[in-house]
Amino acid sequence: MFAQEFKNNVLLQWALSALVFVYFIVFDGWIRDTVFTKEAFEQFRYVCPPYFQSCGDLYILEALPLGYSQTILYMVFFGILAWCVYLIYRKEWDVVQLCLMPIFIWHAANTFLFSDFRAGNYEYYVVAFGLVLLFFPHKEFFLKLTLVIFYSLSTVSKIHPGWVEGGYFTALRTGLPLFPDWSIPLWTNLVIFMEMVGAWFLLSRNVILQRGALLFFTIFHIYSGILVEYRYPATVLPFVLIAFGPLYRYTKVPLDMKSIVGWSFIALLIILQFSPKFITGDEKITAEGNKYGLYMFEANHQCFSEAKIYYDNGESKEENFSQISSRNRCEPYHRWFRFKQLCERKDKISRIEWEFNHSLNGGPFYKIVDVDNVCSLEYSSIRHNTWIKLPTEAAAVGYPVKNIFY
Amino acid sequence: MTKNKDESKEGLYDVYYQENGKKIIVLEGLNAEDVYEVPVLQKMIHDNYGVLEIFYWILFLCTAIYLIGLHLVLPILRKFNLY
Repeated sequence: MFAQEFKNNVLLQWALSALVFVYFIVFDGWIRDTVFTKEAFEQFRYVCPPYFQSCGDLYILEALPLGYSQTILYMVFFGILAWCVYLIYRKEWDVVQLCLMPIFIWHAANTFLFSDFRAGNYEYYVVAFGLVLLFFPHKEFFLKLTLVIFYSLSTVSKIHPGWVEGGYFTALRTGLPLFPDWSIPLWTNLVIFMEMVGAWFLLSRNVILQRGALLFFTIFHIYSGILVEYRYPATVLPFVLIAFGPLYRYTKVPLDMKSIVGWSFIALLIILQFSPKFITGDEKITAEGNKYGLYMFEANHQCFSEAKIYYDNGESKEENFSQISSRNRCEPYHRWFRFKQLCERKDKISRIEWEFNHSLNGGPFYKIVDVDNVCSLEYSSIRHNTWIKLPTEAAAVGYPVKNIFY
Repeated sequence: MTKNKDESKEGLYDVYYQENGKKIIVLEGLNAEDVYEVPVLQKMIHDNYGVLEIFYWILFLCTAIYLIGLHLVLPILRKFNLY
């Protein structure tokens, strides 16, 4: 849609090419990933999004070594993407858009519907770029604005001790890469300030401010790769360089009727980012609504879960779990979902007793879940689940040691 | 630190007690020697966290009002000859 915008706009042509590149990177990971397979469903290793808890019915693909269907599908996508590259070379922009449509739909459905494991912030970026480049009018403006608004909105989740105090990184065994522990709060606050205020200079007419902001964010993305590796910089940096690099020119703010679609999308991003604030409790510890907006690096997590499964014949089995990587969110929902599936699909279980302890940024472990029977609990995706206790109600059971990032 | 074997759970976590009675839970895969101590600067910020939190929300709000006012509201008002 609105393919004529690509015709004489080199920036948009590059951006569309970057989108194809990013899909190659995403699917390179997904082709071997088993989170959306029949096997994951059968082995209770899957988690549906909280607002679509019955997604398991859609799990029909089989990944290697059990079957070929997933690899076949992704190789079809590979062929489509390769065809898109050829169409870009031919400058047939409307056909490129059409060709990317099934790729966009599959990627977006995976991100928001098929598996909660796929709801990574990297994917949110790809969906947003896809929406702007494939569907919206005023593509150049809204591509630039989306990049900047993502920086700005990410600070909503960073106004938290993990970033303002720097606790995320001081609680890591390896600290912040290249910088001493004492200086961590200086750098984390610089990032908050630059993402909140400095990012807007990327859209500036003032060359010095614009180039200064571009330099900062380029260094920021390359530096962040020391921790997050290639995926995040490879997703975002090409678009940042295309939109704000040598091809940059000031784009007038569109205010015509056509721009309503783009502005509605921006408004939706803002609403979604603030939505966890309308759910009682700190979303970093309860994880309720946490994924409705950007949540990357929002807090350093450690947790352990202890459960006892009681069977009808009087026997019982312990199922324990711990998470030591700071980047894994320790969502009580994920454990609840697994236990709920066990309760519903295994008829010999009478009840599951469960305790879940969660620590943020090196703070105490709080026993935020302590229930006699998970099978009788429900999970609401839009309001606070009272069986998840808030730190003010939960007992502190001990303190963690420094953890790791991997 | 002294390890408390009774409270530890093999394969999940070990429990240690510091001399001051603080209970440390070391999850499997982590090291008991990596005790977390809050750096001085972080402690200072922690003591004034409320002030900084308010500062950032005000900064966020002011930036938003400035940008929305200058680039959306004013041009729309001008378009309809209201300003």
